[in-house]
Amino acid sequence: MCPVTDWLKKNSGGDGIYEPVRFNGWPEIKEAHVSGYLPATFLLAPMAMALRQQGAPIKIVYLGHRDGTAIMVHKDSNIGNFHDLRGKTIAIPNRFSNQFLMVYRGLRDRGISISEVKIVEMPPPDMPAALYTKSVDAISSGEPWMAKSEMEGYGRVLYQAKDIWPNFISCVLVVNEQVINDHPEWVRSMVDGIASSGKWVEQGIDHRMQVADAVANTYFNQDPKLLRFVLSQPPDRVTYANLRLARKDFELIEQLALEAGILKGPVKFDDYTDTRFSDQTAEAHSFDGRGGK
Amino acid sequence: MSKSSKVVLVVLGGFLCVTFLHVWLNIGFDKVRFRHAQNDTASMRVGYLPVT
Repeated sequence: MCPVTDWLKKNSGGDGIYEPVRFNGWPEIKEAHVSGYLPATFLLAPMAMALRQQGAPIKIVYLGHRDGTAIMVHKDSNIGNFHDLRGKTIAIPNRFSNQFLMVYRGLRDRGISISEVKIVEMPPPDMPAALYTKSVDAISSGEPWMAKSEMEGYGRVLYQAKDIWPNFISCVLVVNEQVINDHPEWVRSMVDGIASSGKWVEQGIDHRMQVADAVANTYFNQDPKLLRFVLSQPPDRVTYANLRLARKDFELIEQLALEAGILKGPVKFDDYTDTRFSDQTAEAHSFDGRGGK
Repeated sequence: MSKSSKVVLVVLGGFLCVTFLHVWLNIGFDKVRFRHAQNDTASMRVGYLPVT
């Protein structure tokens, strides 16, 4: 979410109305949103869908980024594919995450049951250390935590998300329904800002490097070299184009979430999303859209 | 001024002082806090995790 935080940073303070608030774990961010402390937040897509199913007054209005997730193993391990993960321990950010569904899908497509691996939930910032100490056999979360283990020399990429799930979605932008009703202009401005920032980042590697430097110290508290690595090795490791809400992308998540048992019943795209803001972004008309609607 | 009037004024003055002190310290009667509170209502917190 580099361009997202960069845009929020430029539009906070002074006359800006947005105040980015950093968290380290998904359960905490979810609770802060449900309690009303956060009128808007980035959430894991299946978590947002499940919250809506439980009656939370929220709507998904946009995506945070695409791809930007990997499954990492220790460089000393002999794990080379999904079959080798049988009996191993895999850390994921949360059971209500697309990282979990990606692992589920990868195993399922090879005839392996999810019950043949041990899944543990872990905050993404803790994952590199867990892999380093071999407390777990594999880790999967959003960047830069996967690249951190690779850069520091003990992590090896088993799969990039795009290898298993093209156009992978990790986080979505969720807004409280009351805020959407009372201040639609705030939501529209935020979605337009994120869309144009993402489009700008996709215009060249120099833009990616600029945004990596801009947010590394201020918002991510990371070495700029790490974010430069994430945004360039390879350049499509994380993508910021086509962040509009596409029905078929979410229907795939629904199907996998139902199969994996993390959704208790069918959910409706028209119920848990508000596509007005996403559809009106300039980006929606300027990109062909790999997801389609 | 009679002695009883002075006593009433002192009691009233003391009461107002304590009330003002309480409002200032606990409810945020000063300009800085008031301005901050105004900003709070016009801001939108956006939660995020440091993932790219």
